[in-house]
Amino acid sequence: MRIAKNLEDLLKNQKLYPFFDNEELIKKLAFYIKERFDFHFQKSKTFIGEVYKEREWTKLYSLHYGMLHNNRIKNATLRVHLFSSEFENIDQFERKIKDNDKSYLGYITIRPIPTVSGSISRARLKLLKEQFGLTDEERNIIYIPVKVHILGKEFRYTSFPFIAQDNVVTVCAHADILMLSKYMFKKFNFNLIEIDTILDSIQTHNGRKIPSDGLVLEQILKVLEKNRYNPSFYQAKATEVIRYELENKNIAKLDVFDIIDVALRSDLCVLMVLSTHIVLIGGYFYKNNEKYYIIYDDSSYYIEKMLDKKKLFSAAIKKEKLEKFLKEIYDEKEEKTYLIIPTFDRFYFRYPSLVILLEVVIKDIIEQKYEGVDNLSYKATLIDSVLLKRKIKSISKYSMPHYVWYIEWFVDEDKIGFSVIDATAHKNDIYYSPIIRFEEAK
Amino acid sequence: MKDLKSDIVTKTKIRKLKKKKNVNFNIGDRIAIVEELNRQYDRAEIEAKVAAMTYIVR
Repeated sequence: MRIAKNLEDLLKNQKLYPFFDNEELIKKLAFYIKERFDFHFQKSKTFIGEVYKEREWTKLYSLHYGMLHNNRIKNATLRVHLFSSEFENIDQFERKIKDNDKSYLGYITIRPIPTVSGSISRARLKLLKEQFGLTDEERNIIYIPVKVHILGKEFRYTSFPFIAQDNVVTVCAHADILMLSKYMFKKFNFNLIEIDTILDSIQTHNGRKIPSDGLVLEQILKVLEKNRYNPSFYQAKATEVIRYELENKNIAKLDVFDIIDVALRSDLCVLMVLSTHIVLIGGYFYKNNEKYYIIYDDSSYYIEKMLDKKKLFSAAIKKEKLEKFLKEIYDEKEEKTYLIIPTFDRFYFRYPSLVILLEVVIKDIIEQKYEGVDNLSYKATLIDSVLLKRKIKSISKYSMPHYVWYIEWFVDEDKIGFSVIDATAHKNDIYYSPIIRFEEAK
Repeated sequence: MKDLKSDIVTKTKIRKLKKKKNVNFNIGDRIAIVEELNRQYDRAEIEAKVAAMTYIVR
């Protein structure tokens, strides 16, 4: 374990990093890391480096790197802890730093391989409001709790489980499956998918699964299906998924942003594929009435394109910018946008069918029942019925399935009431299966 | 920051509703519409699954 004032000093330490003597590599790697984790590194004043047996890396090592002739590649990573406070040695650390100290900013791990772009493995950096400029306006951001121990001190905080590709065994498709899985595992106790699980779940076209040439979308879906993630899959031309029509009259339309918002409100993360690259959407929020999406991009490829050459692993992108980007790709190359969203086991009544039920049946019922509600809009959230019953006492006496759709109804921006709909309903059953309730807001 | 979600401020304005007197809503005539629109989505989904068979992500 070493304490240093900068990242380069840790990388130059023989015991921590196997390529300690390669100055050019260290210089490039330090620049690469600081650029991509700009916010946290700007705030950091002290770093602690330690040898760390990381689960993800030991899998990659046993599958591929351990077999290589390069015997400098070790089976442990370098874990770098970031602190915004200053201390010189272990004595000062023990005196100054308390459990859950606010100056702790999280950690990253560095793979012991001699390539710059594949070196970052994990990042568990603390989610801070200032990073994305969060305000007190509406927001839905996904995160996991993290617990770290350093020299007997404990640090608990919230973070996003970021994992970057190594460009050899894993590409962006694998990295995003691993991120999604780590989140679902920590949040909802889903099966944890690891790199060997991914390789076991797929067939390959060239007789070799690694080094990887990428995954076909169907393989990504197969990996998720096999591990009981029940992925919902959507295809959109630019932003439009489907326009429901009857006798050439538009009934409703489904937009990628509607689908993303519903997933994020329901604490589910979204994989977005466009033009052979995949990113993870980890939240949305409003700032000065403008909407932003938080994107985790493990090669910073799309963030760089959307944010004027800023190479970041995560960023908040304005909705208009994201929309423009999706449209440009579709107009230029006719490449569609794909969304993959994991769902719960006992959940069958999917959002596209819910929209039909709301638009064709429930909206009209409300409009016919009440005066002055002709400009109706709604927000849907898939929610555990136990949590909903705790939140709304008036419905706690009803028998409900594990998951229900909670629909908030608005006229202009005023809430007028809510509906609860059975999320295990059959899509064509509008009589018996759904618990269609509408209660006026109190 | 303890929990990002716990300090969300949602400023929702509540609007009180007034009931209409004569309500005549027949839910039965909507079944055919719901089924037709669900079929439209099923077709879109099959198209998406076919595209997924060849679309490479790297």
